[in-house]
Amino acid sequence: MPGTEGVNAEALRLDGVGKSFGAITALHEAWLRVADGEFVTLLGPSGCGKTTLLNLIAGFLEADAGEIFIGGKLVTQLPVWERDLGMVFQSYALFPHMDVARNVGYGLRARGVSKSEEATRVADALALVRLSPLAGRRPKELSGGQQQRVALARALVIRPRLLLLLLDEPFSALDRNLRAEMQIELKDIQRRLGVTTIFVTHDQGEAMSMSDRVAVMSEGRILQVDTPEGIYRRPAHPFVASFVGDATVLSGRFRARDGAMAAVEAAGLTFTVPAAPLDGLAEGAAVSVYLRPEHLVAGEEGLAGTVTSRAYLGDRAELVVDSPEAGRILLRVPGVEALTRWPTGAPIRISFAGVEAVAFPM
Amino acid sequence: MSVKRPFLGLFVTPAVLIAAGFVLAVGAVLQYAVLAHIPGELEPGGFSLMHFRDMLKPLYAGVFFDTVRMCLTVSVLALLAAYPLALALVRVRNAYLKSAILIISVTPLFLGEVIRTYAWIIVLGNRGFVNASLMALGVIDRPMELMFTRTGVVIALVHVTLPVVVIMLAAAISHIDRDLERAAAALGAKPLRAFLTVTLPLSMPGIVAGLTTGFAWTFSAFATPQLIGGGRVNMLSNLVYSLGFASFNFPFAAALSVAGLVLTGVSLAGFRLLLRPLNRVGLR
Repeated sequence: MPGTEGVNAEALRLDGVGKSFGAITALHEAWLRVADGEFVTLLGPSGCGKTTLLNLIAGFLEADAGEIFIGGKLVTQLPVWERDLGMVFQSYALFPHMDVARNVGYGLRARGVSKSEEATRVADALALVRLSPLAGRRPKELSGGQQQRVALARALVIRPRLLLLLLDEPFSALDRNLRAEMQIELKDIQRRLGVTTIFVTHDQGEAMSMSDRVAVMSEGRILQVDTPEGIYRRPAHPFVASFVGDATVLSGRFRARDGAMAAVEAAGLTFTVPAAPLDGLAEGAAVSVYLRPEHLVAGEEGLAGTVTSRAYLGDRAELVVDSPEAGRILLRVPGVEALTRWPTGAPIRISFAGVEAVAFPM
Repeated sequence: MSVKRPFLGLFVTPAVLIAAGFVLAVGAVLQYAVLAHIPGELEPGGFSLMHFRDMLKPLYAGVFFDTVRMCLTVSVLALLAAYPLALALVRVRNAYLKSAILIISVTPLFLGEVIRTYAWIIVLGNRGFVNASLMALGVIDRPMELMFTRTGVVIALVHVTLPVVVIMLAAAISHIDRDLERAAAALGAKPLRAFLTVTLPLSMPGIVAGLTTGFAWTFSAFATPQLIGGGRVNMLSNLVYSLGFASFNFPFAAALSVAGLVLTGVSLAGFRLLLRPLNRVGLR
């Protein structure tokens, strides 16, 4: 295997890591490289294998196949407590019998750090998450957001090689405003400390806004690893295209390839799409064309249809349009326009303003 | 705001009747306890507190002391034996192994006290299983004295106390969030450290409950010390028995019972007080 020796700039490397539970394969060979200081999110629906993958990285599960490297060091056989991880759990897992300071200092005591150093580092960590005044409280006496910050401080104070936000929906327990605030705060702390972070979520908004790169998973496979922009604009797999963001899917025909791009035809229109996913298709082969709602414009010309439902969201509204030619189409229009022009049942015409579309073989 | 509970009276009545029965029984014992004993007579005499004075004599006070010591020894040993069992019971994933542990730890509860005690006589006797095995292996030349000794009684009592303590501990341990132990491991704590700093402190409510129950459980033991102790190991219950049914001194036996009841209450209250700091560790 190439490059098995330690590489400093690589915080995490998965070489074909797999895991089965009996007859069920929870994770097919996963390959992933995470650079030092990177924030990578494992994104996927429940049961896609992302939690299994994180448990493998943490060492709570033993891999059936493949090797795991943390900071260039082979850790596949290493027990959890020797992997040098910072971890934040879904339940926060704060020790109920210890106050905040003792909780945060736990990892330091486990490492035999001196009492005075423990005190200094705990104080620094609590200052970092703005919880210094609450050092003497018990976890039960804290709000959800405060508990999460304690968990974060406890994970960071040991200066881990890898920060695992090993929690599905870490912010799901918090209300919406607090959630956004915590996301920003977490991202800010992560950037300042430069700590490599693996984050698990099924919330694509969280994944897109916080990550340097996103690994989209489904049915035990990593389908695509790319920047949030790449995931959204250049999905490599139909699942990625439909799971990340909203999309209208039209059925069409493959026409011709022109270098890196290809022409496909759907609903009487021609789209230029990346050619890579369509490799090897013959002309006339059936394809699915994925269109983003923001690339569709409602107006007086284009594809005819009827508004079948309207969801008013204030600044914008989401319309579902039924078109005899193209089927169900999802589009976004400004809120005011939706109220005045597009009630349910109104006739509508849709034109395709954007040049961006992707297509996959059907 | 009061909620109407149409069946409350119906459901509470049997409990009240049973409770009344208990109160009457204890009342009868209490009444006997303050009556004078006339030697040679089955009928008690008039009001007297003589028994409560008599039981302070070293002969009887010693039995109280021995009983409390026995209860402490047994509950602590039962706790030590029960903890690993309870931990395994809660944590083992294999269903068969789990059932096996459950059966092993709970069976003593379902054996009659006398049957169980006779079984121990077979095991502990001079030609019993323990001695025969050890002698055959050449570990000892002469049989160890187990029957009619404190050690023998302790062994048999730990056996019967074990199930209750296991159940209490298992209940407490199963309430510990596994993520806490995982968090400890992820933070770099080796398994022993994680156990000592997280699992053990958080099982304190079970430990306190187990010790307390084990204590009270042992206090009421009768057949085991009677048969295995063979009169050489006297617990309060045996003393009450011999005074009542050998000497027919019912009032004194009743007075001793009352004293035993009070002593148990006082001991348990003391326990609570003593163990309160531990308990708080787990609960808060």
